This record gives sequence, structure tokens and C-alpha cells, in this order.
Amino acid sequence: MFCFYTAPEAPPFSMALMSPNASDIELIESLRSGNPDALAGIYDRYGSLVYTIALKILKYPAEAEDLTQEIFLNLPDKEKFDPKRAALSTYLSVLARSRALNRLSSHGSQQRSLQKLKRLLPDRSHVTPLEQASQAERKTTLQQALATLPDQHRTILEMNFFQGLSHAEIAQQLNIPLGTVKSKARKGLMDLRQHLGEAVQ
Amino acid sequence: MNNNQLTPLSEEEEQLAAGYVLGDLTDAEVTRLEQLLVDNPALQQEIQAVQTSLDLLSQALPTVPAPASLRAKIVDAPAIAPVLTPPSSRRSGALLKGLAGLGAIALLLLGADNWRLRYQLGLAQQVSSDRVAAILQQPNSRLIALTANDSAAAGTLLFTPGRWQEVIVSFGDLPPLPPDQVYRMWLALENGEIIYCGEFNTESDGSVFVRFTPPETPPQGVKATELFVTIDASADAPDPAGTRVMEGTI
Repeated sequence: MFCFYTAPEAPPFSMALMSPNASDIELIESLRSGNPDALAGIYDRYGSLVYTIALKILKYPAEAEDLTQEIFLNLPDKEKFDPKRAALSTYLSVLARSRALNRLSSHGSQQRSLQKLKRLLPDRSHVTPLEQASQAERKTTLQQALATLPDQHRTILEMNFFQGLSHAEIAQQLNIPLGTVKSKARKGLMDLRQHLGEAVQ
Repeated sequence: MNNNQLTPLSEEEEQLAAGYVLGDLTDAEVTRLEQLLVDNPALQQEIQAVQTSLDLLSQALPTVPAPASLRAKIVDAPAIAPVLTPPSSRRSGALLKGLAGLGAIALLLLGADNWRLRYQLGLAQQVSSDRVAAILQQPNSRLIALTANDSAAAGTLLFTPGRWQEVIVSFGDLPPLPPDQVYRMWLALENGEIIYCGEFNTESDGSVFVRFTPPETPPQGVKATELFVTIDASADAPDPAGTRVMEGTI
């Protein structure tokens, strides 16, 4: 059904002292051993991914830049990423979303629950095929899966996911009953997962 | 990993898996999910698959290239600090102090089947005035004062003895933390155990007003002796050995 390959992502820029074909795991190991060139390699691969997510949530380029900078500059000190449980791209994208929503919350919205933010990457045991695919292939697959959802299901999922809005807040904004929001959010997620099939197993 | 021989899931199980990942399960649904999860590896795997589906959602966004100037700010930043630094003696001391409770906490956090706890740890709740009123209306409700070790922060915790399932906390002048850190509250028991209560951040003015429903309550007959607040990295699992910033005696 899906045909993913596990080749490392090709960086857009050349990296001094690091092979452009270095795997994500090699880059992280190199970074952890104190090689600053590894940071350039990781940034070249995933800088725009993190920036894109930060901008989507925070809206302002300056804030998105600031968060992207924070995430990458703190990366060397982080021992949390476990390559057996998730791909580096997953770790960075979950981290970017979590930190961006946290910033929104700290800006003082009374309505926004801090606690949409679960602990990062809970309950994971392995890296899935979709995470091992190239960024382009992963994006296409996810966009196709999202496109199969009814508009309102997708809208509700995205409001919850990218704006950190509770179901009650979404019900208010869309002027539909809370129970409807809840059932459509679940159905949307179930359908998304169904469409992705073995790629996320 | 992937096991295609697992029993197909029912509609109810798929609904509960989605609700679990979205964090919108009712108490009754959490109980039902716990029952279904017993000896059901297919459902456990499904929760992981649903979680992964949601985690990857942000990677469907059309890419916006990061500004070229940003790369220089990151890549040309001053030298990277060594990753592995020895723990400070202060932290080691705190670690020893918390050691007695660590076994219990670790069991709680790592127990493979403790889905309710994981679920509840992932959620927190905002305070509504009716919940404060409900506790205050209890004839034996108590206020515990907490003070900071080295700042002007102070606050109180409101609870009803014997009903640790719901507590409300109010602090002032607690310094806001960087986005990657959180405050976490703990309850120390006379038998040496430490119970995790929940985590919070301050408003921009340093105030905090939150309601916790701690997933674990003190065992029958075991008295709580102390409350304390630590600072921890938000990505870390709760750890009572974190730096203590506030304490209060019960």
C-alpha cells in the first residue's frame, strides 16, 4: 500500500566536516559529542519544518524565528530525543508545536487550556514507516489523508491541534453543539488514522 | 512492533483510542478503556498509531522556508556547551532526599498498564469559582501556606482532609518560567512516599490559580506532612528530585 524508503534526508546546504549523507541518528550523536557542525546539518534538514509549525501557531514571523532559534540552540543540551521511539522530524515537530502553544498560553488567554499539551511523545515504542519516509513523501501522504476528511472534521481537528482550542471553545466559535464537536474531532482523527493505515503502525 | 495478527478492534475501542489521544474522555470512558486495555495489545498499539497520526499532523503544513538570516543566528551562535555535565551537588542532595519516594513514583509513572494515570497526568484543569466554593463549604476544609526558599513568592493550597482528589492552589510573585520549564507540585507523606499532584505555569504577573485532581491519593491512615513545588523541564517525566522552590508544612 505504502512504499516508503529509509534513506536519510538530503540537506540543501553542504556541511563542513559532516557527510551530507549522515543519518539523523549520526547527526544527533555527533551533536551530543560536541560537534557544532552537526547542528548546521540538523538545521538545514529541519529548520524550515520547525519554522513552519512555529509560524502557523504563533502567526508572527519574528516570534516564529525566536522559537525556532530557541529550539535549535537548546538541542545540544537535550537528552530527551530517543531515536528508538521516534524520528528526529517527529520529535522536532512535536516539540515545536508544544512550545508554540505554550507561548500562546503564557500570553494570557483565559480560555486556552495549557493542558492540551500532553507530555511529548508519550507511549511510543518504535519509529513508524511514515516517519522513516522522506519529508516530501510524508507531507504528501499526510495531505492526502487530510483531504479525505469532511471539511468540518478537518477544521475541528486543526483548531484543536494548531490553536490549542478546547472543544467547548471550538463549539462556541463554530456555533455548533459541544457534543457534535467532540464526535467530529474523534471521527476525524479515527478517519485520519484509518487512512494512514500501516504507515503509522 | 507492527503485528497484523492482532484481533480487529471494535468501533467502541477505536472511539476510545481517539478520545484518549485527544484528551476528551469522560471518567466513565477512562474506566471503560482501562477495562478494555487489559490483555489487549491490539488496543495498546492502536493508541500509539492514533497518537502518531496526530503527532504528524503538523508535517502536512505547506513548508514556509525559514528566513536565510535565521540560519546564521543558529549555526554561528557561540560554541555549544558540552552535553554531559556532572550533576550539581545540590541536585544530588535533592536526589537523595527524594529517593525514598522514587520507587513509588517510578512505579506509578512507568507501570505499563496505568493508562488512567498517564491520561490524567496529561491533562490539567482550570479553576472555576464553584469548585472553590464547594471546597470552602466543607466544614473541615483547610488552607496550607507555602513559602519560597529564595524569593518573595507565597501562596496557599485549599483542600479538604481525606479528600485529596481535588485541591486548589493560589500563588503570587512566582517568577514566570522559560517556555521549556514548568512548576510541579508534590505531597510528601509520613511514610516517605511522595505523591505527584500536577504541574502549572504562572501568568505573566507571576500569579497562579489552578485546580488539581491528583491521580494518586495518600493511602488510608497515612498522613501527609509536607507540600513542595519544584521546577522541571516540561519535556521530562515528573521527578520529585527537581529544584525545590516552595515548601509548606501540613
